[in-house]
Order: sequence, then structure tokens, then C-alpha cells
Amino acid sequence: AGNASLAREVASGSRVLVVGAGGIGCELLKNLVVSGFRRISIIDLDTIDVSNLNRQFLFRKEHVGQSKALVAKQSVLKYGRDADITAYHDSVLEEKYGVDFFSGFDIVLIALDNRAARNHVNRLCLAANVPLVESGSAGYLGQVTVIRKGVTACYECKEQQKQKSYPACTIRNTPSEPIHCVVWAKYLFSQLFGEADPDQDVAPDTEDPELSSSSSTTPAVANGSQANEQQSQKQTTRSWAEATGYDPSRLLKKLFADDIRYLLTMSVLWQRPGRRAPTPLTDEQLDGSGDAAPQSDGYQRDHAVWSAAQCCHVFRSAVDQLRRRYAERSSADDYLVFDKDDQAAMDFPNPKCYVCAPQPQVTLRCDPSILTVGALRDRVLKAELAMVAPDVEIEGRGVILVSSEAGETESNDPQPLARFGIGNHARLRCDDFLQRYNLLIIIAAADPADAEQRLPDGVDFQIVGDLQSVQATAEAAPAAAAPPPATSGRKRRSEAVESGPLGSGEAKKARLLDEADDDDELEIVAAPKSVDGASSQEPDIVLLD
Amino acid sequence: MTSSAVEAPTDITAQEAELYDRQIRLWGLDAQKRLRASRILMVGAPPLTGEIAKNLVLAGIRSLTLMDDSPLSADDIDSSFIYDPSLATAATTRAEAALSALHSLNPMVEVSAKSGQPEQLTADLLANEDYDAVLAISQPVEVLQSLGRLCRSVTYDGEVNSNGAGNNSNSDSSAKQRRQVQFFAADCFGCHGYVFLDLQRHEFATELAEVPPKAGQDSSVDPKTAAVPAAGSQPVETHLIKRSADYADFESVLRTRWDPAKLGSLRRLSPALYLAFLLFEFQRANNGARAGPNDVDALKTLWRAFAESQQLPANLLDEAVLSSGLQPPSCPVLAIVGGVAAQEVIKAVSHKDDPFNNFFVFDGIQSCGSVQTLG
Repeated sequence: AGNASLAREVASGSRVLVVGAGGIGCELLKNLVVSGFRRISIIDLDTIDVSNLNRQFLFRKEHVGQSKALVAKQSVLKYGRDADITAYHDSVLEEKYGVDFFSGFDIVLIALDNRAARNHVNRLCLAANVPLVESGSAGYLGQVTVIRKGVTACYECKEQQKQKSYPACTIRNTPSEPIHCVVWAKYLFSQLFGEADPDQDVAPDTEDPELSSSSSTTPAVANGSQANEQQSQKQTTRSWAEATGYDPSRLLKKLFADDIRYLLTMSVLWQRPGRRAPTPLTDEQLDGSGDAAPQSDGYQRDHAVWSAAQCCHVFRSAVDQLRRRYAERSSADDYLVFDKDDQAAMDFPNPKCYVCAPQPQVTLRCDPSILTVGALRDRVLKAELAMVAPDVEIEGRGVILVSSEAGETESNDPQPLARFGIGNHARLRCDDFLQRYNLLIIIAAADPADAEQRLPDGVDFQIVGDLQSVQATAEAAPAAAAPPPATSGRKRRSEAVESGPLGSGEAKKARLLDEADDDDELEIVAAPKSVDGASSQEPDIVLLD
Repeated sequence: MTSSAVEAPTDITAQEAELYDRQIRLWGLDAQKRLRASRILMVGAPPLTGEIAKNLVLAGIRSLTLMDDSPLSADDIDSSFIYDPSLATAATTRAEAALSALHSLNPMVEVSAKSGQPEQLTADLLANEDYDAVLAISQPVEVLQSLGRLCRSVTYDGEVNSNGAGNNSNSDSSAKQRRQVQFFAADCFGCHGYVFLDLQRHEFATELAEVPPKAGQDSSVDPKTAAVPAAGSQPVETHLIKRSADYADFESVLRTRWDPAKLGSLRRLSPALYLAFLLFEFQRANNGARAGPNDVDALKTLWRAFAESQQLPANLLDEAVLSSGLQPPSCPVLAIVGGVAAQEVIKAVSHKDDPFNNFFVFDGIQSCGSVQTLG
């Protein structure tokens, strides 16, 4: 009983700050109060939306629209624990929550959903020398990290992986995947209705480095007059739109026909193999008048694939609503802010994009002279791609590199891939024993001498592709980085073998929790799963220039 | 209706679509439909049940039935958020005290309390009340054994398989949909916990990438990007495939023998796993009683005998760890184990993604969870 009562004593006297009252925040607040913590502050700038209710369990339907922090406080007070809770419906980025504020706590818990606020709180906690427990989750994955100045790494010590950055030229000229379209649409929203930001231009980019990389004359030179028009348009997208009264028809024509035609004149962009040139919408599609609007029922509407005409129809109605709202704004300095819970704003990005071409490929960036067959099987295929008993064949040569039958290819395990003639562009066909899972892995040998190709320090390989779709397993609860399940399959094992430092689970744990250990670190580059921006974490868009 | 292999035909309502939007994006509409057709029985309503039940109710199952006639105690209320505090002095059972909170978490789920003892459950009852899963929470090992057997004995139309053993013979029959009652067990002890799954022969859908053979081109390697440009620049087409997995029954798991020759890997296992099994042994030797802080010496003796019989070194489990498993569990441990348990139940009843196979242990000292395939 000794430890438990000591824990309670410490808990009841501690001053805790919870930053964020969303999914993690609700869990945290509940755990804190029930565990005996009595002096708790909670801060969140957000209000409750109905889509929060499936997991932010301190909120009910009648609370929709109210402050998360305030309602969270009210709900846990009903547990009857006599806790002293202070709720702030505010942004933690405000100046008033400075070092002095943070110094008033014994521990700070982060339950945020964006990097900017995390960085900010991290710095303040370091400055105030207050321990910080940082956590985050997305889908089936989550992590918890303890940050203590001078003892552990801080949140910004290591460059955060998966910084989703999109070069301006890709967004404006050569988008190739759904996320580019979403970013483009958000920028367009800003250009038309939001806070003016010259870095968020959507017009074709005449300074695209791909244009100058070729020796042919750039469209800017060849079509001087067009370029000038484009230049002046760049600076005045808003005033152009205002001058035309945000006419949806003219907007549609400009964005999806005129601008596309202009992009097509940049012929060098479309000569790159594998990249599909865009098709400007026809007048018929733009009009869209004959076509019915997409089904208005919530779920069906968002998940059916819309035709071009339906997209235009939705675009028109979204622009209509938004321009009316914009016209009603209180002052000339005010502007609309994109909100994923705002239906009109969410309709704004077209869910079907005509400039995207899917280019499926799973690439393994590695050094084949170092990565062994055994590592390929255990760390890549089993640990990351969730294969149970893979067979790997070197395509074109009929050579089996890895066999799922025990004993057949064990002698290959310690050999580097290069010994089998596997180099850059090599293609490996991987089958799981169930025969219905085929995966082509293309080797991209990272040339250590080439600065752009070189893998980051301490990283043995990178898998390039949409990992979430490829993995068959799911992670455990956010607070514990449990390793992926032991293999299920045709045989039940009678001894325990899957966990441990060398098992796949440890590697994952190391990536998620262990800041200090860089050895054999896996860096996975994963693609976002859905088209819209409404995932549990708002992606941070950073424009590189 | 059964949610095992049959497609739930009814579409979800707009209200449900709105509420469950974020999770449907994660596991898909099909899985959500199966969830919402699932009926779950929880035997035992200690604080751990509150955590699991909260997650299942939020996920949108069809119904949740709690079975626990033990009176609500101050300790229960102290370590949980699920019991109505105003009922502290009333003569109420734990199951009943949890109902109002669960109902308010998601009014679309039918939540009820069922009186009786686990021994009174029969295969007929399970089939007639149409349960898809039975969760045995903080139950003594003998109850786990009998419930595990019971679930395996249920077949479609309420027929009981006469030999009581697992039914594998008719799994290929397309004429008859075999009802399987999935069995789960979970408990927390001190700062540790376990979750066990017996899904018999489990079929599930999982998403895998299909890559048509195309000349590999590392497209859009943009010199301007500092980070690897591949974040989604080469999306992979995915499709759902069906897989299946076989699970061991609880009896076999109890009879697990660890191989002393594999000492290296045994040492890497969390001691909480050995502790879980030691506690089962203790219950067997003590009429189902739970070990508490006063039983340290008895447990040490029991462990020495157990280790000797399996030819394992006694230091796989030391006194410090042993003691750490005897206090009432704290709220965060309950939340973690409850979260994991609920996640696996969701996967299992929705037949989406593979639930782990088959024994999960959370070690609260190492703050780490691990899964073993036992039996």
C-alpha cells in the first residue's frame, strides 16, 4: 500500500497543465482526475463539433459549439473528486501564457494536434525548466515522449520526420497526388477569401526550376505577352476576383481552362516520363448546368466519385456561399479562415482532380552493398510490410532470394543484396505464402556520394509508398508503443518468440519513443490516406523557397 | 443478426455518418456496419470494464450487456469514472451503476445489465441472445476456462456441438453461416495487465497494395525539396483482401510450457507475462481468490515451484516485479489495457485488420506492451 498512497499524495499536491482538450486531452483529464490529481489547468482554443463526439467522450451532442476546455472541466467535475480545475478557452500561443505561466506548473502535458503549438510549448517548458510529456496520435498510431531539460532530447532536438513540405512549383504546375490538390485548394481559398499571402499563390509558376533546367526557351520568353499578363494576375488574384464579383463561372474558366492551357505551353514540364499532362475542362463541363448535384446525404456525398460537371456544380455553390460570407465580413481587414469543419470551405477543394495521375510504386531506398537479405526479410517485409512468410524472387532471373520454407535460403541471410547482383532499379517480386499478396519492390540504390540521394545518417533504408495501405497490422493504444502482433497464420507457435530487442516490435518502439538511440533507425515515409484535409492531425504545410 | 461472415445490409444513417465520420475514414464503412450489428456480453464489471465499455460504446456497437451482481464498492468508485457516484450508498450492483454513464456516451447503443453468475450461462443462451463476443473481465481462471469452452461450443441456430471441442469441420460450408462467439479475457494486476483473444478460425479483410508492373521511375524528384519528396508522390493502389487466422483455446494457453533451451528469448519477455501466469496458478491453488499485497510470500514459493517444474531460472521474475502486480490497478493502466482490449474487440467483430494472436501483456514498469502467441 506504500507506493499507492505515496503516489496519491504526490498527485494531489501537483499542479498540472494539459494543453489541448481533444481526443488525447479528454483521456488525460479523466485519468488525471481519477488518479488523484487535484490542481489541473486545461487550455484549448477550439469548440466542439459533432465529429468529435466519437472519441472526445467528455462532450455530448448538446455541447456542440461550446468551448472544449470549459465543457471538459464541467464533465470531469461530475466524477465528484473535488478537483480544482481551471479551464482556458484560449490559444496557448498567446503572449500571456509565457514563461511565468508555465513556471507555475510541476508538469505539462501536451495533447495538441499541430507542430507549431508543440514547438512553442516545448520552448516555454525548457525556458521554465518544467518537465513535459508530449504525445500525439493519428489513426492507429500514437506516441508519448517525456521531455526533461538537460536529461532528454527536447521536441525540436531531432528534425521531425515526415515534415510535409510541398514546393511551390509542384503545387502550382505539376501536382501529381491528392494532397497537392488539397494544398492548392487551401491556397486558392486564402487567395480569394483569406489572409493575403504571396507565398500561397496558385497561378502557374513561371519560375519553376524545371523550366529553366532545359535548354529550350521558356514560355515566359516565348510568350512574352502571356507571361506579363500572368505576372500581373499573380499580384492581383484577389482584386481580379473582386472586380468580377467572384463570378464562379469566370473563376472556373480561369482556373480549370485558361490556366491549364497556359501550363500546357510549358511543354518541357510534360515531357518528363510518367507525368501526365493536364486536360483543360471543356465549356460543357464548366457549365455543369444539366447535371444533378452530388447526392446531398452526408456519407454518400463525400465518398462517391464526382464527375467533372458535379465538381463544377459544387464549386459554384461553395464560391457563392463563401463570397456572400466574405461580403458580410465586418471590416476590410477581416478575412475568412479555412476550417475543416465548415462545410462550404470543405466543399471548396474539388475531391476529384483532373491534373493528378496515379503512379503506383513501392521503392526501397537502401545501399544494396550493406542491406542484407535477412534484413530485407525481417525488417522490411515482415516488420514494416507485415508479411508473414515472404518469398522473394529476383524478377527476370527466376532466382529465389528468400524462401518461406525453413532452411532453404537461410544461408542467404547475412549476405548483402549486392552479392546477388541486386543494384539500382532491381525489381524484387515478393509474395506472402497466402498467394494473394504480391508486392513489387524496386530498389533505389542510394549513392552515398550524391548529396541528394544519400540516406540520412543512421537510416538503413526508406520505404517509399503508402505504407498504411500496405501494412496489414495495427498498432496498440497511443500510450504504449506495443509492437505489431505476433504473426498469425498457418501454424500456432508454442513458444514465445516475437518480442524482444531484436524483434520487429522493438524497432518500432525505438522509432516512436527512443530519441537517443539512432542505430538502425527506420525512417518511413508514409503518404496521407485520404484526399481531404480532415484527418486527426492537420498537416503542416511549409513552403520551401 | 450475426456479424461474422454476413454483410450487414442496412446502410448507416446520416446521423451515424456524421458521428462516426473520423473512425469510418480509418476502418471503412463495412467495418462500421459490422460493428453496429455486434452484440457484446461483458462478464464482470470492475473498473477495467468501464474503460473497455466506454471505447466499444463510442465505436457504435449494437448492444452491450454487463453481467456483475457484486455490490458497488468505494474502491470501485475511486478507481473509475464509469459508476454513477450518486449510487455509492444505494444497494446497487456494479453493472447497474455503470449503465447511465455508458448510455450517455452513445445513446444509439443498447446498454443493459444482466443478473446472474457466469456459471449460469449456457450455449443456448449465448446463441438465443445473439452474442457475437463474450468478454471475461477480471475473472478467476476457472471462469475463464469454462467461458472459453462455452464460446467454442456455440454453433448456428443455437445447436451445441456435442463434443464441446472447437468446430473446424464446417468452415468451408457455404450453405450455412457458422456462428462463432469470439472470446476475450482481460485483467489488470497492479501496474500490469493482459488481454487474451480466442477467435477460433477468424476471417478478416485487410488492405494491401497492388502494384502493377510498370517501368520504375523515380518521378518528381524535385531539387527544391529538402525532404525526400516521396511523401505520397508515388501512391500505391490498394485493395481489400481476405485472410484468416487460427486461434488457440484458453486451455492450451494455460498449459503453455516455456522452453528452457531458449533462455535468451525468455529473458527478453516481460516479467509481467510470467506474473500473469503465476497469478493464474495462485487462483487455482486458492479457490479463485485474487492475490493481494499480503500474499507475497505465498507467491514467491509458488513461483519457485513453477520455475523448477519448467526448468526455468527463478530470477526471471523477481520480488520487486511480483509486488508491483498486487496493488489495485491505477487509472492509467486500466485506460491502456482497456484501450488495447477494446481495439482488438473492434477489429475482431468488424472483421477488419488482424487482431493480435493471442496474448497481450502490458508491463507498467517498462511502459511497454508485447504480444505472444501461446498455446
